[in-house]
Amino acid sequence: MRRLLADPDARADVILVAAVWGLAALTFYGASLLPPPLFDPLGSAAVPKFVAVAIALLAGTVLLRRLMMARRAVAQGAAAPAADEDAAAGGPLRPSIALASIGIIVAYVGVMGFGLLGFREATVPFVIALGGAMSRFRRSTMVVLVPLSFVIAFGLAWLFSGALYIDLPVTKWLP
Amino acid sequence: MIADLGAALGFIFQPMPLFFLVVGTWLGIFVGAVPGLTGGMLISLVIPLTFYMDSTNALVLMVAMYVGSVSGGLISAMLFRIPGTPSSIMTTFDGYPMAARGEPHRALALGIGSSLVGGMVAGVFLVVLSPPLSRWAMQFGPFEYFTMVLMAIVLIASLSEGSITKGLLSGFLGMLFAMPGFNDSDGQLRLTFGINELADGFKLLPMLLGIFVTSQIIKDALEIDRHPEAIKLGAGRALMSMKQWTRHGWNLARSSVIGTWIGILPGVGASISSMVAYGVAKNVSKTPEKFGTGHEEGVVASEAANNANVGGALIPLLTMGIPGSPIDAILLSALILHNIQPGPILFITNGEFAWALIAAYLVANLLMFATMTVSVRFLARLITIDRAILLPIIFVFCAIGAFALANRLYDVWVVVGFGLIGFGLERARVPVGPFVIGFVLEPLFESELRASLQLSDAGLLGIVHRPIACTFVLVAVVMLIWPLVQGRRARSRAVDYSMD
Repeated sequence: MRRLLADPDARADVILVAAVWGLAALTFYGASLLPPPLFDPLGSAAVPKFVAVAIALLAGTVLLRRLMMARRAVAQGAAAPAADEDAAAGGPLRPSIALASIGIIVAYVGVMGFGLLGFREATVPFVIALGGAMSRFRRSTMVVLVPLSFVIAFGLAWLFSGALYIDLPVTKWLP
Repeated sequence: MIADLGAALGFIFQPMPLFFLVVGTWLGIFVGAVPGLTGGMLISLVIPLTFYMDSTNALVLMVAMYVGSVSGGLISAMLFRIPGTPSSIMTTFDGYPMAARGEPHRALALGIGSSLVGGMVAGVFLVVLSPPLSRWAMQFGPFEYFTMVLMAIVLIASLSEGSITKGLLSGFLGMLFAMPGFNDSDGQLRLTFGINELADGFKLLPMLLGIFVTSQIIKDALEIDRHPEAIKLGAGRALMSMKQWTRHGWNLARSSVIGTWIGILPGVGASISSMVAYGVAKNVSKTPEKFGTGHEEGVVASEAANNANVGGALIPLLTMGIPGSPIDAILLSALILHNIQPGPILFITNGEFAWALIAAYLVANLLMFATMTVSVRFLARLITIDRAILLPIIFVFCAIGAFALANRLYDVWVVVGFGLIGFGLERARVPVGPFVIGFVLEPLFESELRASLQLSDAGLLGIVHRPIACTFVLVAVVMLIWPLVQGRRARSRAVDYSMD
């Protein structure tokens, strides 16, 4: 098992299988709560139940194949794969930047969703933060990004709210 | 047919459609060329901006983007050895070595010329086959539609990259995410788990923006430090010589027909077309050993086929309402959002619109050829643009696009959620194409299955009385079994080899 989890591809498969099984169980439970069909031969629950079983079985197959591959590798005495096989593909992967990007995106939607900031006020720091995180606040990037963030935020707010009559979120506590 | 096409071409050359064609083709080439940006991403982003446009102009714009994005991928494939789009993977095998040995213009000329031929050959098939196919599809009943959807999901799962198990898993997951909300047939609320917003289900556009755009942004953030070495492109012309046209005539025709044919198969994308055409070109070549070393035949086969696939894939979309590839699934959703139902009656109810799309496809190919030939040097310089500047702005458009759908932030959360799902699937090497197709086709699958069961006393066995439905099931079964047979054969061959 330790060997299995040392391989990033295998680890991704194990996480995938766990997530799919969870989703399948949730779907099956949700479909079981539905009443049986009255006049319709299929009902609302049949297809969700079928798909839940199908994904659970397919995920099981993925796990089984992965275990068989690991067992075969042990039998052949092959070395465990390197943690980052893709490093040769032109540079290293940056999980920290990817995680930071996810955090910034969630925060951007969150501050608008909870009514803390409107579109204009949230977009300026969002563009600067996401672009900055990706470029590690490289000066040449920031010189372009900072003014651009204002243009994008105020320009789009005007275009959508003023011209296309789509009420983008606004900051309620601002005058 | 000729009169309809003539009238459509007349419409396309009016100022507004022509403007959208030029803009769409150029933007498509640009995103196709920039590694990390995709045609699916661009078209998904553009859908909300087209809500206020005339439907024909909106779809003309998107078709032009589709053509441009598939073609643009060859620039980064040849100069960076990074396929700008998945359909350009095979182009890297011979395009890059040719460019690396000091012949980038020759490689680009072959790629651009072959793309034009592939696109135009597929265009001829699109013009000739679409009307009779739509008439044929008028005979389809629920059984045919239900089995065709089944076949499409199996086809894309079995032919997409990676294992068939993961392809099928992806397709079924897509179907699963299309299920929450009101069930049209009995008005039953299902799989909402008490969340009020889920009563409306997951809308198509936020799903597309999540899967194609947000997941790509996260992936690009992960790979932000990957800077491939680019081949410098000096002054020169990227135009095929007459000798090259004649030398590769047969290869061009064959690869274009392969690309078109594979495009017609529901659910199979351009990358498979170029792989098959490349393989066939290598098998019939007098110099197969040169493939992979910068051989002209390889570039020609790959590029003619992937562009032909675009035209081929439009055939099932327009005539049967079945997407030929993930991008066609986006076009299908765009059509639905513009209140146009693709399928057999499209040529009857919206004939002018259908012909306008076909004409747009043909003209977009010509524009693509002209644009890329003239501005390839400029484009090559542009694709090194800083992604840290581009990606935040793309997400802002994404958020606005999802929000504009119903003026609610819930849809933006859906974008984020599907972005994470798409990214997770990508990391687990699960293809997202089947996911999108499964999501798009699930309502059709369920409604046609229900109608089939209501029509037949024998339940699903009623299929045996419908030859077309039987054929679809047979194809699906063969496509499921074939990879297993092939895998077993390959394993036994490997064992024989090791014993020898």
